[in-house]
Amino acid sequence: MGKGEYLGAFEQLVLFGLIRLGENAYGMKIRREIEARTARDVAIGAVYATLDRLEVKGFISSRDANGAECRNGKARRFFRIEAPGIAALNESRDALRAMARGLDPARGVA
Amino acid sequence: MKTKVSYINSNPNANLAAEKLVFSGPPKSLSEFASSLTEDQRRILRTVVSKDPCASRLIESYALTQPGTQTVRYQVSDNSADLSWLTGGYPRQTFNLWANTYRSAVATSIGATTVSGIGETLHISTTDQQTKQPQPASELSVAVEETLRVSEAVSPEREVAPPPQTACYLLSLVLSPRDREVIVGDLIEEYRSYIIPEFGDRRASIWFWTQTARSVWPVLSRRLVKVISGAALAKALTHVFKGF
Repeated sequence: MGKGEYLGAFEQLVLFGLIRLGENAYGMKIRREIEARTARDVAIGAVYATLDRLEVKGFISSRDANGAECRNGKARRFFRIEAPGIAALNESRDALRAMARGLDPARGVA
Repeated sequence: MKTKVSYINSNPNANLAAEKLVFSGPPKSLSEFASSLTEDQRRILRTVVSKDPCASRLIESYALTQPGTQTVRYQVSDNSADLSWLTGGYPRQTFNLWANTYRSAVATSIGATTVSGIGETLHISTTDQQTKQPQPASELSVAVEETLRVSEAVSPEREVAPPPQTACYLLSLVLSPRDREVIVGDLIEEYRSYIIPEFGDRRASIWFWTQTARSVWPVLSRRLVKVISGAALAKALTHVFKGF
């Protein structure tokens, strides 16, 4: 990740979802994890568009696996966060913390 | 050695369920248990496992029990909002069914021989031979969920509504060949495994269409970005090579 370039909010949610789900991380599970934890209604297409973008950046990797009967035998794609993804996530969180340090967000004053 | 889980309800509605609870008999395997459930029971169990903070905490309490630990005390939050989704949406009869179903599942998953509800306290007892190693809470929840799904997939009497074919087709049109199978497969899996059991066929169909409609723009715009950046790269390369 280049200097000054940070992950978007949704990208961070997806990466956290990947970390939470571990080996069992694929699109549908990630979507449900985000929805359950943030109460945010998420489209599966948005999840995959974000996953694709993160993969192009080298933050995550994917592998395709055979599908199950419950999905008409269609393949599953499992995702895994890579070291650059973890570094990017930490960097984005550090940046947010640095900006928020010493502020009282509830009152909107320093 | 006996493991005892004390379940103490401070919510009056939950106490009603605990008083009604009776479960006994030899432990079943999870798959035996799942195959004996009615469709209503499956729906309730799945809803409870996914939504009820009390249910997940009961599993968690058990999971935290180490071999040799005699008692785990478990306090349900007094905040009525915690259970409002349950008491507000279900009649008393369904609520009792929920309690029996869920605690039976817990008892089965931990190899309990008896579960009895006495007033405000629920005791789950296990014998030496049947005590299992503690597992992380999420693994137990996943085990229950996976068992239900497998059981439903092979159950001959259950007819699952097919996903809306037109929606599948429309979504396929905007997806790249690489993503087509994966994304449509994810939607079908969620539709069958979670949405239909929780909301019924009609609302599940609406959910499928909504997901399809809301997915079109993100995937289409992502494809356009790729095409445009690919074309820009090709143009730049052509420009470079023309210089030589």
